[in-house]
Amino acid sequence: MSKPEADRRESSMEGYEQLLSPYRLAGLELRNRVVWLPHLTRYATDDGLPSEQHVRYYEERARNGVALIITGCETAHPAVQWGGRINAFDTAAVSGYREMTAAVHEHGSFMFGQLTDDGNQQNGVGGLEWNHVRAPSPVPDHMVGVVPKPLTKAEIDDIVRYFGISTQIHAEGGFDGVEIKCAHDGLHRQFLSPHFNRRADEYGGSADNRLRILRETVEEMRRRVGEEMVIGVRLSLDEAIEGGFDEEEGIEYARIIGTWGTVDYLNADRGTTGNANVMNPTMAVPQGYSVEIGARAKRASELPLIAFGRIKTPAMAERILVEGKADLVGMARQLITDPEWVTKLSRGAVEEIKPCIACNQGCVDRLWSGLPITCILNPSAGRERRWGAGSLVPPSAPRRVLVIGAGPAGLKVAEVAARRGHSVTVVDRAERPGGKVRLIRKTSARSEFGESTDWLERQLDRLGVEVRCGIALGAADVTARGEEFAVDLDGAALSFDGIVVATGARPVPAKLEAGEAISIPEAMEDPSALAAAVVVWDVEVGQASATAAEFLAGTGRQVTIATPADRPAIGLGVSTTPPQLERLAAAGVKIVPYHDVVRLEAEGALLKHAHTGAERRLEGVGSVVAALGWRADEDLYHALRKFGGAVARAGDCVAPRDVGMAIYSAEALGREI
Amino acid sequence: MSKFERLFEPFQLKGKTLINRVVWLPHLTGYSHEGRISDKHVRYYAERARNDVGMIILGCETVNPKYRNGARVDAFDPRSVEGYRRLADAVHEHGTVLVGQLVDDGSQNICTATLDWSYEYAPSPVADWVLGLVPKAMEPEDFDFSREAWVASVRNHVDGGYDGSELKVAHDGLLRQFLSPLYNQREDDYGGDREGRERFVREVLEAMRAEAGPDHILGIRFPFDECIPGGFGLEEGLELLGDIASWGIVDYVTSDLGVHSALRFCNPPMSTPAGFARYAVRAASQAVDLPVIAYGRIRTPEMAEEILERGEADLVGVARALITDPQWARKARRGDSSRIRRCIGCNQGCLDRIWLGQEITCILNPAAGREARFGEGTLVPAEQPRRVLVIGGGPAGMKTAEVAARRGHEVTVVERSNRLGGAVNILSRAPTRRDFLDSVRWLENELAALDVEVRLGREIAAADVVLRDDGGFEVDLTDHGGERRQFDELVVATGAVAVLPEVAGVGAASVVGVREALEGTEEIGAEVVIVDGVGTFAAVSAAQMLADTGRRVTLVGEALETAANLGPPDRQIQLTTLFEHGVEAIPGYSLRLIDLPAVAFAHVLDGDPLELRADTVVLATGWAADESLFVGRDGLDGNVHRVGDCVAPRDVGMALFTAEELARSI
Repeated sequence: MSKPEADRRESSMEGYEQLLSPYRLAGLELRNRVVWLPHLTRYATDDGLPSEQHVRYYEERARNGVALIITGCETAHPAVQWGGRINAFDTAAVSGYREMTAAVHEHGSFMFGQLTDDGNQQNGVGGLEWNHVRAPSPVPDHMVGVVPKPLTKAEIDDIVRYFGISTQIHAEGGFDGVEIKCAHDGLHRQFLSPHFNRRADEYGGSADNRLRILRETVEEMRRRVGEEMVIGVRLSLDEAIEGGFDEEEGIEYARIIGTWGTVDYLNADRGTTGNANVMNPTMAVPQGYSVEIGARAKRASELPLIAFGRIKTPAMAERILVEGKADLVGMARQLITDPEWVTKLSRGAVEEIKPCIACNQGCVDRLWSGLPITCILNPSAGRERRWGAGSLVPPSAPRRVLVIGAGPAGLKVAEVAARRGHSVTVVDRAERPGGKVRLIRKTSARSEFGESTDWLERQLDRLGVEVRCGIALGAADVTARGEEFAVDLDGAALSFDGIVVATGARPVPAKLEAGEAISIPEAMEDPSALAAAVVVWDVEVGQASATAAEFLAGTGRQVTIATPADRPAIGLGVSTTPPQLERLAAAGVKIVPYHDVVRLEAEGALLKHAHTGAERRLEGVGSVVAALGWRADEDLYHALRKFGGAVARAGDCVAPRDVGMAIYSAEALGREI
Repeated sequence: MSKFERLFEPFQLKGKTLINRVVWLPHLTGYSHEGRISDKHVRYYAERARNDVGMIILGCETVNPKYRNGARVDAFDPRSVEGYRRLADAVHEHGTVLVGQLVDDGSQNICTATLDWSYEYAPSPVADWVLGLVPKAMEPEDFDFSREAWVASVRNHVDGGYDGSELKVAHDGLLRQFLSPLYNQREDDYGGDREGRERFVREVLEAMRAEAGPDHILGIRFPFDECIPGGFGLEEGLELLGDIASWGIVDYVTSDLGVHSALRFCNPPMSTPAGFARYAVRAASQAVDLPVIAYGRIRTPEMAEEILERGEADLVGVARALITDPQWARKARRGDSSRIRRCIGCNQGCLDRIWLGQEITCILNPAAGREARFGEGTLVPAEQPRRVLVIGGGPAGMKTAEVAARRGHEVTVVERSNRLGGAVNILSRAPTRRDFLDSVRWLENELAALDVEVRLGREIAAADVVLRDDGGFEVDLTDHGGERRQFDELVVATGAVAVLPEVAGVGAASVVGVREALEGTEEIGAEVVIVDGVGTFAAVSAAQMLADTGRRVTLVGEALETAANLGPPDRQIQLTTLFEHGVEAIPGYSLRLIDLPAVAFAHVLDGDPLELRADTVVLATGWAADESLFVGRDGLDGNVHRVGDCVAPRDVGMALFTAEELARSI
């Protein structure tokens, strides 16, 4: 054990007393204050039932000390159709529920379900049993955009009844509690909203009226299961949209709910689908951004409250509890990224916690696209059966492995291979490790992305992997000698049993009819050569080009994005697109759709309409940054492969993808060699 | 004697007898259940087999385990065989030949749909889509992997009782990518000249033939022209086809044109003329000595017969026409071709949904994909025929009347305008949307055939309806109390009304709704600004129509993408055609003020102002249910119903689906 690590171990247990202290929630003895917040996984079977994947996913966090797990987004009414979700109203779910809860209980954790009816936040035509979307009033959701039909009293009663049925099914399935989603999505929140609820009957108007369906739902659930189960509400405390309810009203709702005497706890939440940044905050949103609003709800409601909102460090979690701002600390994504958060904390290894960077690429964006979730930094998330705890097998014989390239893929291969007992050396031609993450982190709103490779670097350091930078290794530096490779590493001759190439991708070169275009890496490495007014020729319309534009605007330059598409950032996900576009706008970046850049001249850049060919000049622009996409940097791989022997590759040098694919392919390769 | 002599002539294909020349073309349905053939598949295909289809080709089964996604059948997996058998039995029972289509996607799919990720591979690192993923160039082990996957898949087809397998060398698929000079830039034995580019296709075919034996039908789906710059054109396409035919392995070819970046050829919308691909099909028939299956918006048996008669093809393939009307062939055979419900090429129920990863249906045929619920034999006669009054003669009202009348009810439809069809009459005035009219004309014909009473030009107000003590209604069908009639059930189908933005100036004389603009009831000036708040067809088709009449048209959309709510294939096509028609499209601005000739907008992200000049402003800013007649009657009793846009404004598909549902419950 190294000296700093020993220090850490000593100091870390103290300082987290509150976080690791038990808590009594409506009769349940939680072993600590850590709650895995509800989130949709899309792991349900085609029949809308719990799957084995669910069981393993939850079990892995229970095994690692999480006190309470809340499932997330189970469908409470048959009129709602979403693929990949559990149909909580279906008695066929009971046996799967029992497997899930038994696996979680075995490790001493408690498990709640979360019930939702989506109201206007679904389109009613996901499957083939179509339904008119129904909601409090005919007001469309910002994202779905479908005008719903207003609910009749009979339909409201039916929804309330189904929440009762679904609760009963949860009781039979072995759950300890159930939570109603009155949150960033969910019909119950739509009733609370002056924007979405314009009813004149007893379900609209006053705060009590708007809360009526929630109160009736809780009462119906209680009627079904009595005091046997904990019943909570996930409550959006501020809709954060024009015309919606604000924080003051949200706190008032919390207060009223507290007076009912039927609700056991509040799970804090904020925003709606009309404001992606509040609902599914990206890394640009400060950590703990909703702690204060949660604290107000706790005081107003006098109910046990679960804090939420980009909480990732034990230090922040502890502080929230010490300051009395919440009773429990909820995390969703951080526990997807590192299931061992509590374990590592308990054994004093806080530095080993893999931080969630709130990129949303593996989780939120996939679930919005209808895909099962994972984590780009934790390939075992959702793949616990294949890669979860206990699945890493030592190699038959430890080997000496050279990894060429210290980007995410190279570092990850090195980490996994070293964990398995291989002796690993990493080299990179750049002066620092990190690969393309070095560029990503230069943009302040995305700087937290750097924690991904920082964590890998720390792991390599701990595992004794040598990372040598500033060495541009070519095929000429390698000779095959039998089963071995002799490598000239900066003058020293070393032998390896295998080589992993992780050399990343290069930008597709751009050719203008006149003038020079420079690439994204060139522009971001050294923007000083760029003019005061820049056009980004964005054919890629992905994350890299948007990040580059944002970075350049941050250097004080006037930036225009010219794209043959409708807009930039088309390659981004549902939760990351609006914040990215808003940040670009806030930075003064202008968008010129349907145009390519063809010439850079003294007076500016000449654009050409992508469909009509009409020309247009952007006056005053002095530099063109071209974003035409990426090509695998695979020459070294092919050259080395000619030697035969153990040469493999991972990451963008296979084909240019995101960091998630790089890390996934590295995990797979690291386990194989 | 049938007027379709050729169409109903049997055909011999590799020792199998096709009862006629009608082929249901391969298409992805999304009906798989956990990657297997589902009951939905079986019912969907059996319903067409029962109705005189000669050969059915089930589309897009997954060859490559790396491309798994829930929507498709995993052909590579031996566990699929059991489902194949059930399907084959159900289809064979009716004498129909069954072929399964196999695809390895290459660059044209993502390998991250499940959590078992891998890099997409293809001949060369060239992305198919403008915005697509750059694949990895195949390495030797990838060739082995793919070849073995094709062989395993054909084995499962044989074991499952399929009569044949079709290789997708088509608008999508790795094998076409190999043939393409654009997508195959390899410098090894698998690239370069025709022989090189064909090498892998030949290896796969040879391996499959060896596995499947001599009696299994092997076909290919093949685009005669990639229809993109740098791809192979018609001339080279036919040479490639000639080479493939010369190997003596393939038993037939299904026609195709285009690739994903040229969707107007492979997913032709209604603006593409019927039979648009006949020129290429004819050329292929002349070029090769293989049975050729025609394709390409063949909507009527009359056109099919003509194609056969002129020797343009040996068999006629339709995909969407049989989704819309499973009895397409049967009606033709019985001499009832005028009763065929024609596919209008809207793509809304089928292709758009597939591109979104959803199960397909047909907006005009709610039974498609829902055969268990709405298919043949499910319509139960009414226990007691009742007198039904339908108020509103749009799609929802007409459909309710049709289904109710089929069940034996006595139905009257009252429509305030002088024509049945509702909003469809107006929206189909745009030349690119003209075929939509067939949907309501068909319903109109059926209503006539079913003796439904239709009263035009009468607007019923709430006051005209009197509730009787026995739960029935008395309604004055004239506007002067001249004809009081008794009804047992009342169906309100009054549609939707336009919603105007709360912006100064919308009330001005030269500001018109998009429906009025399409109808031509309002005068439209030379310079037109169209405000699109919904991103559907209304605005884009109006823009094209007005531009075609010589007006200068600017389409300003509130969304950041023009025509944002069209399905992916139609959006690609419409965006291209908009510009071809000379429309200027400006996405991302919301309307602030109209003070003609000035129209002021602000950018939705940064508020940047935009001022345009217009003689006329056309508003397509949304719809609201016209529930004026219904409000207050809800819950009154069980005999008042409403259906379609007057419940909530949706598309024609939702209107017809809910109408089908309602009429079966009355």
